[in-house]
Amino acid sequence: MSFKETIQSNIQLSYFEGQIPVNYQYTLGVAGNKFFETLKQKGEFIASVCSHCGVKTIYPLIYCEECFNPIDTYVSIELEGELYSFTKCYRDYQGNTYDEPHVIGLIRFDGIKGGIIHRLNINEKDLKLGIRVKAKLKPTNKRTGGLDDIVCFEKV
Amino acid sequence: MGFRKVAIVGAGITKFVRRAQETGPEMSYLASKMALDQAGLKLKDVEMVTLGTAPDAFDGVHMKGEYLLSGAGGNNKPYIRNFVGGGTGVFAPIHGWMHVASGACDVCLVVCSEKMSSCHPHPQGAFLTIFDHTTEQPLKPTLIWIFALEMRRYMETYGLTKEDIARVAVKNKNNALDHPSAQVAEAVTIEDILNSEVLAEPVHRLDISPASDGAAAVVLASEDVAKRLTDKPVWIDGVGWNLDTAYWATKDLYYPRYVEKAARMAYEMAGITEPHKEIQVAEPYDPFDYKELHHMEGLLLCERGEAARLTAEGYTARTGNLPTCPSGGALGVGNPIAATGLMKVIEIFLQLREEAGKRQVPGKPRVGVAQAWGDLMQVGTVIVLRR
Ligand SMILES: [Zn+2]
Repeated sequence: MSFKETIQSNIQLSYFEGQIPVNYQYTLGVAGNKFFETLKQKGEFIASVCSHCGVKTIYPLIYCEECFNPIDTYVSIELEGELYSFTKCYRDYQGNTYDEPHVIGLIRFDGIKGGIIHRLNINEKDLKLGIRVKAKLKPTNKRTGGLDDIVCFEKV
Repeated sequence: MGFRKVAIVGAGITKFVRRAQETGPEMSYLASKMALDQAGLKLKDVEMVTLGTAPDAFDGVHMKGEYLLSGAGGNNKPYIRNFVGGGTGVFAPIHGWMHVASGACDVCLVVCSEKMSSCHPHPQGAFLTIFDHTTEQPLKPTLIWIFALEMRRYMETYGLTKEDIARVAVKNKNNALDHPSAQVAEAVTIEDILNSEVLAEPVHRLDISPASDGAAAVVLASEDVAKRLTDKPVWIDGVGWNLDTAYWATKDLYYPRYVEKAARMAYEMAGITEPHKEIQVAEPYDPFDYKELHHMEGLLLCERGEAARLTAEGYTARTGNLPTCPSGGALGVGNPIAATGLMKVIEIFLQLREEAGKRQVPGKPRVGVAQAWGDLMQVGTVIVLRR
């Protein structure tokens, strides 16, 4: 209803097809590797701890964003945190409608800077900011050392 | 602080549309030529050129600055591209200001150009790779859902409703009816916004600005040159920019501190101590309706959490005490990323010259501010203009 111009598609103009023919292989990084290896092996989250200013950060970093000193200390933290915000999404990034809406949340952990963005599996009536949630992990033998080792977050 | 005075002496802007026949260089040319004509200058009078444009992936051209060069009048001149995501459109004139304020040149052409429609089926696909490849991309995030997270937190923090937020879209889309470049101007109501499709709760389709093709340009001049060219120079009185971390999950999401820092930098340079009293017209960045409110607060134009109430009271209407987005903003004129910010700077330029036609705010404003914002909730760019 809001789009007034008449040309709705490039195929109504003269056009040609193009693409950027590349793929990528991203390393996890030093801190990222520690995080996802720990998740895979032990089923735990780790945060980095700055020994200069004390700030703890998740996902962990090898340098402190606050005081710019190097970090070499990492600690395990609870899989449980607080739901800081959430959204129910109806379309994917190409504009296609999902079969089921995806519910995504930002989870914060007590006393720790940062958070984890992930899927939520929580009843509609319980979905509120501030509720306690906990990560549900894949079984050990199914974990690959990536974000999908976390299945979702559920209400505690 | 030892900077030379810099004025805007000419401006040009193309129509903003969902899909333009023109290529990026062609759109850049149209805007540049209009700006030069208004300034009464030829390309040979331009000493340096700076160009703002957003991700290469929109065009699929991995030398976008060079690709747009000739249309932007940059051939065989000191020319450089700048880029800070959605903040680019206000950063580009700041970059041009650096060229002139430093004494490096007397006349600098600033061009912003964006062609998003080449990206198929939708430019959201290009935005996927602004997210962290390890901790976010596996979830296939879209920009809309991270803004939904931010909008919900902002609403919850201050107890705002969707109606409170939708009023901004209503104001801006209606304001845009008077803008000759506008793509999605429409006499919408709050009900229209709330009845539009839910994309990612609480964000509806009409809460969001569209993807667009378009270009804008301004000519900047040093004091001597500006006074020779025009009786109505508009001075760049203050500039500020600031970037926060790309680890956006570390932020509180309800207050844009980086915008405040950029604003304070610009206000200090402009000698502004009470922005809510001294600034008479504002163009905060409004790619989503709640962002205008967010940015009014970050720009210190009102207290935190007050922007929605002021909007409801008509304070930010064209005839209000502090008109915001009299142009129609990104929500009404359209959002060809880099060109949008420069469109906002041009609106303040026109308002201060009292050349905004039906969009003119009353009271002969003397001081205005334009702001843009971008990347992963991390960039603030601010420019203060004075006549
Ligand atoms: Zn530290």
